[in-house]
Amino acid sequence: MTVKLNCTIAKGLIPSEKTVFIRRADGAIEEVIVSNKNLSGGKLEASEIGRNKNGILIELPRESASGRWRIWVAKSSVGA
Amino acid sequence: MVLTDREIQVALQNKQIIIKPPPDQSAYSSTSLDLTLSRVLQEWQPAAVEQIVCPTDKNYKFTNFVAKFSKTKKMTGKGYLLLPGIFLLGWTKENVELPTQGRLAARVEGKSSLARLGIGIHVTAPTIHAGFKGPIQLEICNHGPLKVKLTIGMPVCQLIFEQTLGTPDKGYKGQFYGQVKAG
Repeated sequence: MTVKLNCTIAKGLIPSEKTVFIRRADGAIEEVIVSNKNLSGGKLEASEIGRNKNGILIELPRESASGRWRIWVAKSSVGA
Repeated sequence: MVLTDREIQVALQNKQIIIKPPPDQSAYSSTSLDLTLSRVLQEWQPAAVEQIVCPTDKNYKFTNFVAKFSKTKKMTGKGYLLLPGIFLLGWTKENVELPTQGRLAARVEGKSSLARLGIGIHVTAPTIHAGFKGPIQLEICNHGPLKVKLTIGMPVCQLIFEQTLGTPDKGYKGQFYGQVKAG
């Protein structure tokens, strides 16, 4: 299921990309370079993989700078 | 055919793939599974570059060469600073087993997060054949101009699992077992 993630958006390396920063459930910040097409209404479109009482497991559209494709985020980070 | 995350999980349940310690849910992507770096690195000593290596020489033994010209480094929490141009061997923390009858093979590939820093993790030998058991050896090289810190447990490579067509001879136990081609 596609979800929209709260994130901070900065410019990317090339005009068709943006750098986004997402807060993980553990508080750390994950940096991902994505296509402009992965963004919608100032949010990052990502896929929900699963959830538990602590948060939601998200698959990012691209691998993050720390080497992660999937991260746990707080439920409050995810919109419809 | 490349296995998706769901098919990898099914193969793990069916013991077509055995990975210890078992991967965390966050280690998957849609079509791959991340593995992590163990603490052990094999670092070439300066004297190694003075040597001439001839792999086809009848007296050549890689293990002897490694024993003589490299040093085992055990990373601490501070990690290991991989300098530009340096090549070393590393291993995954995970033990991987692909039973011969599992009809699966895999390829170990690098990760874009490291590739963009100039770090390669294999040197043209990515195939994990059916029947493989053990941690995966990584041939780690810093091709870039940056000093890059390696740390214990970092996501260092990914496995792409592929279905094989049939079972290789070594795992075959069917009706044609033991038959060989004449001549």
